[in-house]
Amino acid sequence: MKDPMYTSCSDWEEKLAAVHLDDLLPAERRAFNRHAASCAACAAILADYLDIDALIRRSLTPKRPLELPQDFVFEIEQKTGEEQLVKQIFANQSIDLLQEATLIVEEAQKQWEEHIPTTRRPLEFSSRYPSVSAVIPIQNDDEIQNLHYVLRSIPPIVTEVILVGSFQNEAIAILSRHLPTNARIIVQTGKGKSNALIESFDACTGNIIVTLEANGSTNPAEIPLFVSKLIAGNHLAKGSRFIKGGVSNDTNLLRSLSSYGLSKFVSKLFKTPLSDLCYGYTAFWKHCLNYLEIDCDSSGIELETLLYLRMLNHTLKVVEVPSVECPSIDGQSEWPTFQYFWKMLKVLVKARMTGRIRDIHQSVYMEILPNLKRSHGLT
Amino acid sequence: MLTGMSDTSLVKLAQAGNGEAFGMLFQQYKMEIFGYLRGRLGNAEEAYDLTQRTFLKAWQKLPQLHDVSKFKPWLYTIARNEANDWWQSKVKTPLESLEQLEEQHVLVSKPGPEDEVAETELVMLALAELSPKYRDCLLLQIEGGLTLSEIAGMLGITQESATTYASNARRQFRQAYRRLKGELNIAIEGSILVERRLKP
Repeated sequence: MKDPMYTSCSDWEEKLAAVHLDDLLPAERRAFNRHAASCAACAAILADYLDIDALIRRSLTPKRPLELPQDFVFEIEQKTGEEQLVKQIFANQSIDLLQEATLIVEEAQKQWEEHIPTTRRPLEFSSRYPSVSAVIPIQNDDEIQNLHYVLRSIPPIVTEVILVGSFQNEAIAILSRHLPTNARIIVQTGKGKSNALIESFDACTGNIIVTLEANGSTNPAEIPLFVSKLIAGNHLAKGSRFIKGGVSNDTNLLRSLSSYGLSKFVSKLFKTPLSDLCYGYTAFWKHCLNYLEIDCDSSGIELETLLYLRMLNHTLKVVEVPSVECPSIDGQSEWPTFQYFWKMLKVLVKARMTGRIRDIHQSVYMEILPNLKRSHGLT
Repeated sequence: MLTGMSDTSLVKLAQAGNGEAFGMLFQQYKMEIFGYLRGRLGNAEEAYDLTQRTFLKAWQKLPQLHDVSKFKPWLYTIARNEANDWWQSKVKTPLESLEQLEEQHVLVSKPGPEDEVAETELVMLALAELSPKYRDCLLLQIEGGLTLSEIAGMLGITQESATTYASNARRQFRQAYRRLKGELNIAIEGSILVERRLKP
């Protein structure tokens, strides 16, 4: 085969002066090797250029240690200290897994913005699809103080943050100082966490609702993982500390055993594999609430758990997502009591007895999803 | 703990405020940034200062870096701007003569092997003979290991121009270095002769 483009020594000299031999295209490299085999001058020129590069590098190396100024190091260390604290609080999931999930969600949002004209979007859709509402129920003042650690970890895919609780004016004033622009405060009219969640669900404008804990035990950075599972066609994504990739940094043997026992019981009862019933990190499509009867009278168990059971009853698609449970920021973990387990068992049995299979109408979300998924290869 | 992490991951961590990750990036790039600046300025002491300032600015501006895979060209852009500012503040033309280098104490008589010092001096003189744009292009390629397209993007020129610059720069440097080395050898031989004549 004829050498592609460089035939004369001057051509080669010019080319080799501009690039290194390693930078040449394979065809160029082959051509040069053929040329150099019969041209000692060009081979010498190449060796000369390589020597020159090495010479320049050698000559420009510092002759004494090069370090950052002390005050700058101090500034960095100070910031690192803050970052380490947050890192301890939020032990991260696999970075690759989170990045992949974030890409899926961002791609879905981009596709929606690009391909669905604003005029054709149903009113309930925001400009971003799926829009995500993160709900954080706040139970006490300590949680308000530590809330900024949770808020700063919320990923950009979240379009709205809802803080819900029975706040006094003073607490609202404190909260307002640290709130991001997309956050809202909902003052609950009833009592308890379950009531707070139900009231906040009504206020959510997002297509997807994610429930977080204000004590920092649920890592907001994992939200893309949950949302990506919903985009993949599931109705509810439930965090699990006991499947591969999940772990709990805020439990003990008793809690683990009891949670494991309950999960096994529910697996048998509902004939579905379930690894972690007592973990509140959950994400679901808001429209699913239209088909579920959620009553907060069954307080005594987490509303998220009840939601999960109701979803199972209605044969909605439920998936578990590996989640890393972080230690509570305030160091206080709730200990389940015997009454808690007893109530839980009663609710479980009742849910199973009263559960009925119901066909779910295909909603506008479900009609759009396959197109979206096809368009960016998510099937 | 962060050993073995890719540059992209380190940059992301540093963006989140992780100083350890930034420290690793500093260790990884400090030598080449220093080399680039020393070549641009012709002055080792100023290069030390500007290297520190480059990383200081990088740390401050890191949250503004959107494409973390472009960290290296971005870092070199900061270093290049620092070098340009330095030259502007000096209001001087780039190095042109041996006298000018001597004035700026570049030709230092630091302890060490004489050959090494002489070699460094010759390299600095040969670099000083290049036009600023050629020198910039050559240093970005050799010290930074940047591709011609990256250099073209940084300098705001076409890739063809970057190729021409790099080619001309390397050839001119080669010629200048050979000539200077020849002159030095003649000077050394001359001084040896003088010494012999002076000896009784």
